[in-house]
Amino acid sequence: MTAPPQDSAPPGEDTDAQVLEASLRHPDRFGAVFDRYFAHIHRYVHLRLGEAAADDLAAETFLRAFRDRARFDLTRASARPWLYGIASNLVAEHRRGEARRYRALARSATATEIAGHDERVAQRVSAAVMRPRLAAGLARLSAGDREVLLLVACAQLGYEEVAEALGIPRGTVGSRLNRARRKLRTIIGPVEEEL
Amino acid sequence: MTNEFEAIKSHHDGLPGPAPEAIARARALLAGEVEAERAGSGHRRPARSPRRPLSAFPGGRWAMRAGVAAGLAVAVTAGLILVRGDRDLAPFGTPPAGAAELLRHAAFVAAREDVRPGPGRFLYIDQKNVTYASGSEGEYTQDVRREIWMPAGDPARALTRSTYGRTRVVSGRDPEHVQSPGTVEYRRAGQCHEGSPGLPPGAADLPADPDRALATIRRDAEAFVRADRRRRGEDDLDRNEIAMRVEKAVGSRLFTLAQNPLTPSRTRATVFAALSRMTTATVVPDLTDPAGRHGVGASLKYETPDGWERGELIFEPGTYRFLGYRSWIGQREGGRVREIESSSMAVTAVKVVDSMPEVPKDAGEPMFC
Repeated sequence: MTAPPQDSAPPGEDTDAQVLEASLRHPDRFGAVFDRYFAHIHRYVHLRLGEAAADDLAAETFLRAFRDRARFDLTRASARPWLYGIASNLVAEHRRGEARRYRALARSATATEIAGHDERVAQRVSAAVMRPRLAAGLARLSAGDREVLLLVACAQLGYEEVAEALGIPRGTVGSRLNRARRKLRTIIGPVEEEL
Repeated sequence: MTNEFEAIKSHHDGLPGPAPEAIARARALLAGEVEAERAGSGHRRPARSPRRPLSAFPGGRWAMRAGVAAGLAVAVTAGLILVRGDRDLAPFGTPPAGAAELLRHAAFVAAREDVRPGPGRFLYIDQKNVTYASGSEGEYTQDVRREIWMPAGDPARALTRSTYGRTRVVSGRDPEHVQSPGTVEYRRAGQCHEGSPGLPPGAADLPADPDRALATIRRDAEAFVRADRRRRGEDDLDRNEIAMRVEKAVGSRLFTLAQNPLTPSRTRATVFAALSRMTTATVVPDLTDPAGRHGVGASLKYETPDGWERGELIFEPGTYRFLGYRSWIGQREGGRVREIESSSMAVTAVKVVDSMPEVPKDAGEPMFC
């Protein structure tokens, strides 16, 4: 399991806003934002589009963030919602690919054979096998509903943060999340073991 | 936390983190951007608007280049009209915001570059290639300068001259069966059981519209993968694996067409525009081609059962003229990814000339004939 996401900077270090403000004068300070969040953004994109796309789009997320850092609202301490918003926009350009991926995962009910005994390989293989019903459920959600659900479930953003990330009203976040959960439950059922 | 949340979160948290190579690459991209900004040639100053209207497009600069370059003819083609439709392109000279913008610029430029020899003259192409080979002795790369003379309207008389350079061992021992540095080989069209150099397969039939071209290439790739599975007797492949193979075939075809110097400029423009539709393409701010020229790259990566493959098209910064191509193979070995440069090429000259060399009487047969 991964460590819980950081809300902002580690204790004793500059907040994201402070780092981003400093990076306007000293661009290399932006590296601290990369170090704090690259792995989180990569994992989020990996879940949505696969590892190869995650390598590229996570990198692209930080390039875009660097170029647009003057637009970051310095009254917000954490850059997480902003970065997830950029990543979500990039993922949105691949919507068909995302749905296709979930449908493919749903059909792959049996795990690929684990090649070799290396732990990393084993981890990749098991991770690639999303529970078929869960994948099928995600594939059937609308893109907007799925985006909100995954930002809450994976990135653990709050309603306000999701609203900030996606540029939508807070009420829309709530309604999309409710709809997504309702629909998902009807597909996957209430008991985890049955997923 | 409810079940569906836990299930999603559990799957998400179980995914592996980025490979060290992916982190290093992303960090290098960012460092390049930081350095460019600090040096004042940065991609975008932070406070600047990310896009400017097309009206600032300095087309005159390219018109002038076209006028100066021998044999260049400005061609108003269907491909050109299509790529000009992009109203949100940043002006030339402004670093592109992403791979799509870079490739649209490149398509625009390619559609205007058309080097065609008149009667009795020859199209001359000079390339620097780095070839990769593996065998029982190990793996190695070798530099090769490749020159092609293509008579106007008569590809059957084409001539290729290869001048071999140094060999670099990637793994294993020094290869025995290679041409020593300085060796010159001539190959006439039709020699070595090959057809004459000419249009790459499928180029002639490719629709000019990038979307239709992409659809055609995808259909061909699906047909190829189906046939390949039948040939190998693979009846139980899952859909992920099939989709992976199709994507690889699509990418390979696009790169083959894009890098072949004999691909007509109109077709190359269509291919660049089609590649700009590939949403997984990314921009690489600084790449070096085998001739040592720095350029801005468009990279496309696709997964394979054993790892991944990546192709990189390199363009001249500011003018978006095609410089060359590099390809990489990432192989998973013992839990690590080993990256190997599988081939690269740089186009150093494309021009019209009045003659082609005679093949020396004592010229031997090419080694790999």
